Amino acid sequence: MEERRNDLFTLGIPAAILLAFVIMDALFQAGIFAKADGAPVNYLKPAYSTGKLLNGQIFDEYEKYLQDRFYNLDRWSSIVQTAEILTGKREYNGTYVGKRQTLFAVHSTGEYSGRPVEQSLGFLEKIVTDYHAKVMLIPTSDEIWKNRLPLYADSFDQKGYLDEVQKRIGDEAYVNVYAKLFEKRAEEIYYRTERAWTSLGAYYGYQAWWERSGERLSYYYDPERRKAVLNRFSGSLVKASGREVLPERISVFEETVGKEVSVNYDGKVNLKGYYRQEYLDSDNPMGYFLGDGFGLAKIEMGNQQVRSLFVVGDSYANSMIPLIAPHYQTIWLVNPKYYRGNVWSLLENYGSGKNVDVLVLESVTGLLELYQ
Amino acid sequence: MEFGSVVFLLRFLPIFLITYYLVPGRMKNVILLLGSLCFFSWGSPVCLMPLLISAGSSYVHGLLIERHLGKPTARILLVSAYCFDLVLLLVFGYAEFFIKSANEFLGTKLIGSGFPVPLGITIYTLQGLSYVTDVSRGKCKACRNVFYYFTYLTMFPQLAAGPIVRYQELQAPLRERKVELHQVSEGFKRICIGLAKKILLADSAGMLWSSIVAMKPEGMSLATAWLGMLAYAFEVYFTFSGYCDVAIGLGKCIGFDFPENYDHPFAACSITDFTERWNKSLMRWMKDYVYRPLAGEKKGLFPKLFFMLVTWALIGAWYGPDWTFVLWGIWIGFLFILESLFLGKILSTLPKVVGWCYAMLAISVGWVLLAMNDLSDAVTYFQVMFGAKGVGMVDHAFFFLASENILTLIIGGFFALPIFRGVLDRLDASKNGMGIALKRLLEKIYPGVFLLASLVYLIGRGW
Repeated sequence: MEERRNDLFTLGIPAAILLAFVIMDALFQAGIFAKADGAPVNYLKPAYSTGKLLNGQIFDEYEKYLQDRFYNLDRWSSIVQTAEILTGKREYNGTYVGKRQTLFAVHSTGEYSGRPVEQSLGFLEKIVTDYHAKVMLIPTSDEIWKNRLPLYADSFDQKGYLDEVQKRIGDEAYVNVYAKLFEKRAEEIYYRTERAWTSLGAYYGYQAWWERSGERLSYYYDPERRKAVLNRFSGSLVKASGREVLPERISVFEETVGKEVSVNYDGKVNLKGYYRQEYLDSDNPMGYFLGDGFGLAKIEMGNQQVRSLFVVGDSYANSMIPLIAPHYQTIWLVNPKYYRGNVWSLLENYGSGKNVDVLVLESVTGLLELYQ
Repeated sequence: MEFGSVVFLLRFLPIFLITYYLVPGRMKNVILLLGSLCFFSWGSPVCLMPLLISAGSSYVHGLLIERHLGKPTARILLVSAYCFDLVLLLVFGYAEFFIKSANEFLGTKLIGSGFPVPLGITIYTLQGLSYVTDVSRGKCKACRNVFYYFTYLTMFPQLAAGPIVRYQELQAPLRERKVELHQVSEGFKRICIGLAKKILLADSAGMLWSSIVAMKPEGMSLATAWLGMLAYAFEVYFTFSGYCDVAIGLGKCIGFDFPENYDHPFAACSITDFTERWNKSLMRWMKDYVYRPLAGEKKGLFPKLFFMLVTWALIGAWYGPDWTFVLWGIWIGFLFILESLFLGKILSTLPKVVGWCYAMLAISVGWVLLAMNDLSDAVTYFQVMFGAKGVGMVDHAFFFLASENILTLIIGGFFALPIFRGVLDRLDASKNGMGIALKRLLEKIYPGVFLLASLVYLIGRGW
């Protein structure tokens, strides 16, 4: 009798748990939402075809459909992640979960060492020699906020790379953004959930550029008067890691808003102003700063300045351009990641000339990734 | 269909078990057969073809062999049965391997069919061959009922990852079996353990291994390489043994007693000991149906050793269609031979811990061959493991990965070694009533805890 009771108990608990999950699976709808990695949920049952039946594709699709439509999937994912964080897991899908609600893209030493370093140094030496360029390489958040990284997290030594850049191109051409950002590291100079610096970080970058540029006039921007354009922003690192952290804010300097500048994208589209409002409601709010995915932008300020600026830059440059723009009449901004033509030809056409300054304004990892 | 999937646990299994328990005794085999066919056709219905052909072939051959027992015809029929099943196995299971080898070594430009390897083909082929061989040896009577035979050969619980079950082990329960509450309770317990091994331990270890194998060998430290091997070993062991636990548990739930297949192989103190703990049903099969027929009556040491090595090469090939698997088998076989010649005697005079260290080192070398798709990759990994390449003894990556996965590694070690069973046995043997009560409580609670954690992780980790 007692053995029977024991058997019922031993069987009853797992059977009840299994039954509960079966009911959840069978009866409840998961609803329509995107998975953490941005992939669309298969909210429609997979369409049947004889071909898909024979090659087995229908079964894979049906299993994915069942998985994605499970009741309260977000809650289960959150439970698993919390359990994993409690047991020490700190890296998800190429993202470190750091301290103080900060997520970092993983930039491992092995990924960036060797050929990317050598080839990028060669590029910088050439552009400095041929076009008297200034080089402003921005360290990413995992370098400046090293103290927030998980213990033992592997992170490429960007300071060491920058020291090597300075040695190769000389002090005259080198803009020491690292020192400025490191000095201000206690401030929110990077987004906690995105691979980008904030407008405050861009402002300090602008200050570093001004100190090296020899410009007599510096434009004053008041960090206290920054205007919030999006109050609850969760960047791409949240989607990549599936890890929810406290949302943050996107702000811009009041002084840069409403400027009558013309921006031409890839010779096709003409828009006004530095900021693209439509991106704030999209999956990529960082596109608010000058847009996204363009190879070449020509920004005309319509001011009385004489000089032009040719920038080889990535998305970090997009945040700083509105601050640096008043110093120039025209800015050419080429993003080598998206530009399909030859950057050297562009430089030949627009970057050489008496009244043209050339600036390399890239993140360290962005530049190295071009050579991977 | 995998045991550790939402569709199996929350759709197939409940429907199958409820239907199975509701139908009367004679219908249970019908439900079992239908359930097995559904299970195998999930993924690709075309995969049913080799299964049904193989079952039909061994059934017919079994009857014919029995009819001609004692005559030369029986031997011819046995050879015919082997040829038929092996050709099926080679065509459906190893065609891509031969095409790849021909392209690599002979310079041909053959293209594979892209056809998926049918689930369980290596297991049901061996089961069918053991059946016809046992009939030819007079060890069991041929099955006259085609329905019973097909139910035996297609039985889904053990075709995914073993154990390999012989016909005479299931002959009686196929005809008549009772499913009792205690058996179902024990079966469910076993299923919960198996799922926890696969979903909580194997999958976690697999993610750690994936992180490490994605690193460039030049950027890897010695410690990281060994950590990777441990992760891979855990992934393989907990996957296979977990699925076997589910198979054994499912068997109990439907009234069958499948043999144990894994017995804490990480506690082995020699390679010989390891082979007696790892995939025991496969080892027994190979000994009874390959090694003994080939080497049994041969005189002299050399033929016996040669066929031992051949048997081990076949064991390696059974695990996967690649030369690295064959090399793994030869490596284990080589050590097995050394131990049988003289090394075993030396090990028996040494402390057990020395034997354990030797066994773990030797097995780890073997894991590298299983883990890598390519011999050159395996050689590079060896170089890192033994310090000839890489970035030194330890690096940040090792500390980071080890600290991230410390719980998986500790719990994995706890279950890989016979510690959990030891704790339960100690509690049982304790004279203290509290110990026995604690053991009973643990036994009531842990299946539910394992199942709940497994389901939450399965759903929460996503596709």
